[in-house]
Amino acid sequence: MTMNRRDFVNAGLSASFFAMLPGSASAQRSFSPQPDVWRNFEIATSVELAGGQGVSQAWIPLPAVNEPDWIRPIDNKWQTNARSAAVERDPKYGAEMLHVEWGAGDAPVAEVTSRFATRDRGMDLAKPREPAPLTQAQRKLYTEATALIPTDGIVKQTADTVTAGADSELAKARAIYEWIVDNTFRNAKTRGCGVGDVAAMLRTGDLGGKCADLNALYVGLARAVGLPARDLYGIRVAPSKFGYKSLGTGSEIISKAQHCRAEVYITGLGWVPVDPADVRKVVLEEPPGNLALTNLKVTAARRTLFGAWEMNWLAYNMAHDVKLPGSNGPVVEFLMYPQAEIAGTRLDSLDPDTFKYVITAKELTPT
Amino acid sequence: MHFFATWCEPCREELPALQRLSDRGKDSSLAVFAISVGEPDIRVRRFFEPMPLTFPVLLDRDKEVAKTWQVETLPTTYVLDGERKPRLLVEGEFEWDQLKVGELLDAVSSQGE
Repeated sequence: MTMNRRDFVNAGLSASFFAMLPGSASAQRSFSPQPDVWRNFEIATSVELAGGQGVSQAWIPLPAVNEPDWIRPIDNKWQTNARSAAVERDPKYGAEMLHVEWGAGDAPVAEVTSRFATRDRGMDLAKPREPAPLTQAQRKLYTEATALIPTDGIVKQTADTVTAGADSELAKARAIYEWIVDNTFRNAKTRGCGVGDVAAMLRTGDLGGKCADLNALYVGLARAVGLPARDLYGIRVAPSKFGYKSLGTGSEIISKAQHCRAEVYITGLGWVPVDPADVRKVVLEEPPGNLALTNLKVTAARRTLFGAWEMNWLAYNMAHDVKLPGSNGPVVEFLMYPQAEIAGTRLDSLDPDTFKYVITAKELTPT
Repeated sequence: MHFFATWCEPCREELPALQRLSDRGKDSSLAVFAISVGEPDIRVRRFFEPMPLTFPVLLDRDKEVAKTWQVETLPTTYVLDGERKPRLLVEGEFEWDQLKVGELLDAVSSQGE
């Protein structure tokens, strides 16, 4: 079903509650990530470029998000026939990547192995905490506009409409989340994870896309009403242990399992994990597919994905508009896929026929 | 001047229609240019392999041209007059198959007189 040019009215009054059918509590899937055990994972990214066509470069994302409660990079190792390979760090957001350079006559290959640990996140949003306050610099970083996420104009107008009547930061954050779940849709035809052009989505009324669109929309609307918010770009690394086929990987090959999520900062709670895009993914893809918003699998995901994440997912970074060091080409809107150039021409990260890379993931047995 | 991206669904339908418009106007002063916004060259080339066009496709790799022309949505089409001044603007989809070349040229030439 294709939905275009949606009507924005009733945004603030959209279904911000979901009914529990009488007597059905036991039938609901228990999707309740909690911060209990740490899990260790290893992903391997293998890149192979066409040789003999000129000087080549590649930039391979590395785990750079380090949050003591839920994710810790462990180490990176690599093997390559390149003339140089070095870890580069984006100065603004701290995104890390392995930058590899080959000579004109080389047959470029590289394999990068990264290990990291994750733990599920589940917050009691009714229980105030004493999170580390944001610095002024952090608040500025996470409320400012980016190239594709403006915070004025139609984004601001929409955000104000969506949050009208919300009397707290948490209420505003939730209003935006519910509005996105109600009014957007996952578009299977979107290439990769989408583009994340928030203003264009709102201007055209075409609120379809994938995670980079829908979660960027969340971030844009939240920032537009003054809530610090950020996208986290990463990749799924394991099946969901809560039984959601659409929210996990199907095999150890995860080359196309990129996924981004979002967080919003609430005073007294800290960074709250959200993922309205994954709610729409459950709607579209959870077997048997095309589920109604009232379906129990969807209502469970909707309830959970405001305040909790299952951490079968690696967060690479939170970066926007990333300049690839050593490239004269354009910035990338986000760094979630390997990037490469041959003789100064940027390859297409979404086309495996022209840019060969394979990413695999495995869970490591605790020692 | 038709700004587009390969990921833009309406764009994929408009480009063949613009080719047909270009064909209808081949004996006129109409010239069509497509401008790919912010995509790798190779993606654009592969996109057109099954859809060969006879008009030029320009590559705005860093979106600077789109910014200069204040393109806020895709597709966006500017129609310029003989002095290359923008006279008409279409933001979003358009039914190019229903447009007569003569009417378009008349509309552009009558603007600003």
